[in-house]
Amino acid sequence: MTMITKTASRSTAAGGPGTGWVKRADKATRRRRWQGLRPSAGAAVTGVIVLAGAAVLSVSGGQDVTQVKVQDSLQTSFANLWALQQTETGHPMRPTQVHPAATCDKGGPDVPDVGPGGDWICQMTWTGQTEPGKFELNVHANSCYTASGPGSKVGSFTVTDTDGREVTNPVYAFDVCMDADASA
Amino acid sequence: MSAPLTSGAAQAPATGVLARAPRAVPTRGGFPAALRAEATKLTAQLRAKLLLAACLVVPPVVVAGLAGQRPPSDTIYGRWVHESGYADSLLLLGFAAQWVLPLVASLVAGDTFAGEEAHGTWKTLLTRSVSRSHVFWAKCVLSAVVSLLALLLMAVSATVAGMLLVGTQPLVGLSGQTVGSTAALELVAASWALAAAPLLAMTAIALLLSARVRNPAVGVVGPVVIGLLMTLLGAVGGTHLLRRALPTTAFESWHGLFAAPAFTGPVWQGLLTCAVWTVVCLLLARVHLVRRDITGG
Repeated sequence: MTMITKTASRSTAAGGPGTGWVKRADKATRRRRWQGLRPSAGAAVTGVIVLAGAAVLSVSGGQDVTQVKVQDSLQTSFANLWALQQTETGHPMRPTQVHPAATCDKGGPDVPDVGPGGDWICQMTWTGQTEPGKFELNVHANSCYTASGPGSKVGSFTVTDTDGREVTNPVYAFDVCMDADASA
Repeated sequence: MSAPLTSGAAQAPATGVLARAPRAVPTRGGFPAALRAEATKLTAQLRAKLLLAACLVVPPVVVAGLAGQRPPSDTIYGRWVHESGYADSLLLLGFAAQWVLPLVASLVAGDTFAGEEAHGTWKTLLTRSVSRSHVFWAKCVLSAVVSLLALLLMAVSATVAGMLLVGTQPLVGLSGQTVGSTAALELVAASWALAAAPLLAMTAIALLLSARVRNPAVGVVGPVVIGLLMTLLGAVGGTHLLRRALPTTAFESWHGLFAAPAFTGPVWQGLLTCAVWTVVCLLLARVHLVRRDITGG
């Protein structure tokens, strides 16, 4: 208690209702007057600058999601996951033995094959599958996508592993993330 | 004359009355005093305690709840929550980034300046022998400490819960590759650690709102809404560099660590973006607070 009183009284004595106070109030009034002149104008200018900056940023830079990136990442990921699924179900396989070949298209022939969207379709063949299987990709703006495989070729939601357990089927649906900064 | 006395006192602190004076000065005023006072207020705050308790208790409950259900497949790593405990931790990280972490950032920070306003305690606070700048930085430091502590508790709680309740099986990476148990644990830890940067940026946004809007409710809810809007904006396609300029984008920079080959471009971009947001918001808040007319109000 005594400390608080002492400190308070000292600060009043040093910088209380003396010149400092008046100066500060003056400054505040001036500022209030400046703000009072055009309160909306300042906000509007700030808003316009921010929006313009956002607009410039949103049209700058290259495409994060391209056909080549989607195809390459799908092939790599599928090879890894197919080998995993085959190994789990008692048919040991290495990713290098899968030999996937994918052709991806976004939204049909009239739509450019770039950018995120839920309308990416990939036709893919791999070892033992000469008839292409259709993979539906939902590509997000963060350059990650969820690929859903054709159930008739990759199996259902779960598969039975060598121990007889029901485990998640790695290729039924899977998440892949691409490097947005990579070229191509 | 006073210089030798002070240095002598510093060398031999137990030499009586003269020695006590210089040592007593830092304990009465300045930044350390402001920090201590703010820390005392914070430890008495129920909401800060509840926040930290929730960060510790909720993740295990969620992990346990997930165990009996069909895995949520609409979030990254949702599909794998039954196969590896690390997936549970990453699923929680992905979920928390949407609005939980912005809320964690704003719960204390959003109230810290606006609360003084609401209680009318600014004048009392500033009659103490500390400058506004000291009070400002003390509040900033403590808000950051609370945010980081909450993140740490959440990370440890989620990861340990996953490892204990589901297991430490190898994890499937985001290029389909298998990530060994030890490597997965390291990557999970790194992923949570990376969330610190956007969390601090959101804390700075909350501090700015708190200082400017002067309403605790806006200070707390505002950053959550801003975080959601930024996440939404980042999820819209075709925003290119704008997406990378948002602090919330950095909440997802860990994705690259789980790819093969791993890519760290988003990590560095995220750190830079968040640093800029943090510094700009803090400077704006400081300028506003130091220049505003508290005594006249």
